[in-house]
Amino acid sequence: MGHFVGLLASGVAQGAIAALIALGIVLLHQTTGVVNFAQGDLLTLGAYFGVWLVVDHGIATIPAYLIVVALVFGVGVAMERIGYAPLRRQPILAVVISTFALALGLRSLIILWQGNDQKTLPSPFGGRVWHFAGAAIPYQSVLIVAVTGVVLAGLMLMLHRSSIGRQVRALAADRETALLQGIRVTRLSVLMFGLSAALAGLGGVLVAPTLTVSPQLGFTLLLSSFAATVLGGFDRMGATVLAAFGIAIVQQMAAGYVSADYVEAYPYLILLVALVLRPSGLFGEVVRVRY
Amino acid sequence: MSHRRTIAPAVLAALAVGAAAVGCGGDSGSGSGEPIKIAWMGAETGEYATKDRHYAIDLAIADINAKGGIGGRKVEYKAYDGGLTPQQGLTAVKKALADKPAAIVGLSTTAQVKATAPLLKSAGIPTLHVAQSHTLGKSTLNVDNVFRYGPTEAMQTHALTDYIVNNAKPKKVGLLASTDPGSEEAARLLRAGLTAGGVANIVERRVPQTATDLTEAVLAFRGVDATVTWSFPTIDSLFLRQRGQNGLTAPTFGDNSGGSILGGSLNPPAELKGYHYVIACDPDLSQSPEAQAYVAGYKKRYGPSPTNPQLAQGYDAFRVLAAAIEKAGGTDPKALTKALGGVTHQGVCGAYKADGENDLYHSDVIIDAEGGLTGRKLLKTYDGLTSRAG
Amino acid sequence: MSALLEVRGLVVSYGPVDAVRGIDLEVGAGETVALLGANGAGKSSTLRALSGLVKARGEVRFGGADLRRVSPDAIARAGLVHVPEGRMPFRSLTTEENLLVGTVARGGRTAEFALSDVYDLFPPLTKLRRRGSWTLSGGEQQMMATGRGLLAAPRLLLLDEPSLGLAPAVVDTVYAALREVREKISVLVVEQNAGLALGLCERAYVLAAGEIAMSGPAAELADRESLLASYLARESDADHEVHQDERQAG
Repeated sequence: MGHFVGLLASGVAQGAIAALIALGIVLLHQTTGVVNFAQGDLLTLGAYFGVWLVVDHGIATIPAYLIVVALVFGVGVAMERIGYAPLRRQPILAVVISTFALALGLRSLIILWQGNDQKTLPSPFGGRVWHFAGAAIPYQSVLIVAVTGVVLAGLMLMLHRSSIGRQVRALAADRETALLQGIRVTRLSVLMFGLSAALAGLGGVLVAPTLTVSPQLGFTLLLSSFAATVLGGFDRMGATVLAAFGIAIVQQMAAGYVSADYVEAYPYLILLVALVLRPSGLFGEVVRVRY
Repeated sequence: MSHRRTIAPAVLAALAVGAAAVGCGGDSGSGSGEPIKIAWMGAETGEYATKDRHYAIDLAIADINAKGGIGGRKVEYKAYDGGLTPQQGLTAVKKALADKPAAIVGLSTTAQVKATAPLLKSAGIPTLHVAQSHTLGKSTLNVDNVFRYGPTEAMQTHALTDYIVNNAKPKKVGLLASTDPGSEEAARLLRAGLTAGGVANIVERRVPQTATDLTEAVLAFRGVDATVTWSFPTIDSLFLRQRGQNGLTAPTFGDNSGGSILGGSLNPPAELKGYHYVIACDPDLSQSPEAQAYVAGYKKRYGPSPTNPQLAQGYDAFRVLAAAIEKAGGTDPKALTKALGGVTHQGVCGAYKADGENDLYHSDVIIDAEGGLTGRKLLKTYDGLTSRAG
Repeated sequence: MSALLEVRGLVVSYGPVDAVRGIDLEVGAGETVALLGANGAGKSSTLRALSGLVKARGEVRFGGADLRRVSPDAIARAGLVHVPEGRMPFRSLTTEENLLVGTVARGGRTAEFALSDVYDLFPPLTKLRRRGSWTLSGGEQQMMATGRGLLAAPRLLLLDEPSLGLAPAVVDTVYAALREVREKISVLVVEQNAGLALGLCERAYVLAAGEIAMSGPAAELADRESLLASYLARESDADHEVHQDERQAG
């Protein structure tokens, strides 16, 4: 029992982080058509901002996390201005390639600022764990899941209950008609870049205490989030979140009960099988993207 | 297998240095003749290019030149960006050879040494590398002028398993290694060493070096008498954390990532309880006069914090080379190669003397990490290890 | 006094093909005007040029302001609201959410039609308000799209083929609503069905091969039935295909 619960808890925590990254990718892709490859490095940046605030400046956890989210939001906005706005009339592929360049640039800036050395961001709970059903679950993992849950709920509420949320969804559904309805597409693009960056930054500051902070941190996590994004059909937020949790949990269970070898290959195996069975994504219906 | 990753807190990575030349040490003494040029192959850019990467070799150059250089000739080095990949290594070696150095020092990965070996063989320039695979020995590589100045993974795994079976005396061991070739090979040697030492039950787990969660392995290791890890600092650090969280209290033994873990304070003190690691050398804890002089010189130059143990062998490499040049009476490649094969040198880390495999170094130390960077203890020194201890 | 919408020498080109070849057009305040023509005559291209979706040459003034170099969303917010051909629902939104998106372009203007007025105009939408808009029939989508346009408080409503592909009974509902709309709002309606449009509008322009072939009061044009029919029968589907290829970069 403890074995099962331990694996499940770790899968859920991993899934939460993947969901935050994947949601940022999908949100941005739907509203702007851009697949942002810098998402992983924005996560790394969030982790380093966390180290900078908490370790170097002794800021308390909650304000530090909030400042990190705000800072990474700002970086996302800057990325829109640098990497997207000037290329708006270019094919979308040009923008996607520019996000690659931004990702590398961001990583270099992080190295220039913080160096290559691995750092640690202490958890507000220290190393304490919650003993539940025979498993030892770190409180940081509980925090990850709780914060992700609140953020996802808030995001869904925003998207479905507010005018700005309706505009975002309208833009995602049909860019041209959104323009005809007077939606400020440029302004929303800026907002979406900021928001999806903020999600990655939040993921970074949440996951950092469970790992070691290095310039490669985000890239590692980005890969399995991409699997979730593809599995979710690349255009459905709820499905993407489910896929992120599903992949992480199956990965942990498979490692525990099937074989622990090549555990990192499982997300892609799941993805491969799913795509063979359902080419439009596990939850996909009609993939219909208009820019 | 752990890369030669250095650890001091870097304020600013000297990325801008790029692949270009880096300044060289030493006062402009009144040496006669041309200075002796040595090519340094390090990771000058990227993930492993830390701020302190030239500390020990700068110190070595300064110490050599302070005594008037070698045979009246000043010594200087030039850094080439060898990176970590075979291609980077090859490019850097080609660049270096064009500058006609007396010797090359510092390639750090097995793949790099293999990739550059044919070129080094035909050029004949004596080369000292620090990669760990036993397959780089002279009988396998078949290149006379390539020497190794660090321990092989066989030496390290031998020292570690010997210490485990004679001290922890476990019946059941959990073995965690990453899936890169170096760690795979080390895991094989560790398993053999443990089995030979009477460990009947070994639970083995492999994870990629990018793993972000080791819950499954930690749970699988419940009830073992000891755990052994062989991977990279990030993985070893993650294991220490999750081991603590899951109440796995059995002592754990790891590779030289321990140097990085302590140096970077990657884990809080509570998670270091029962943690031991093997490392080539730890000058701060050594009582030898050579080590004490080195530590004093290092601290005088770079400040009072502990030295980075992973740099000390770079210092020794330059000193070994200087001794060989002296012995050879110059920098003629053939004479210098021959001299490297016969020279003996008592360095910071211990004795250097080439064996039949062109391995110069044969020592390792076991460190008890429980006290952290300042309170760590030297448990045992292994000398006279052989290249193929496995 | 100048007209609400003034178009002078409007040219729309897709590569080497001119879809609209220098037309003049006016809609006065409070006026209801039809733009007739066969498929490919340049009707939709004209509307897309007016709402800024395609680049055009020539002069377009709306309420006295020059619309050149104004982005499509700003044009909509200025009160020139385009209900596109094919209705284009936001498929992932419910009917009511689609309607509410209409209010975005309202700016400071007071809407002649509030949400409840739209449900009064198009009673079938009332019971569909919580339904996903992708489940709506063509007629229901047309009602929704028109309602969405009305909620933007338009000063001039551009309607592109509101009767296209609809059953006669549904067409009646839509046109009954439009007759109420024209009492309060200026309308420019593009139609292939000349009879319907001429019944609704005061004046009409007939477009053929990208040029104005006829124009005048609706009653006058209706009398010249055979000539009108000859213009409306010609042309091909070219215009239709061309503008589908045009990608709007926004």
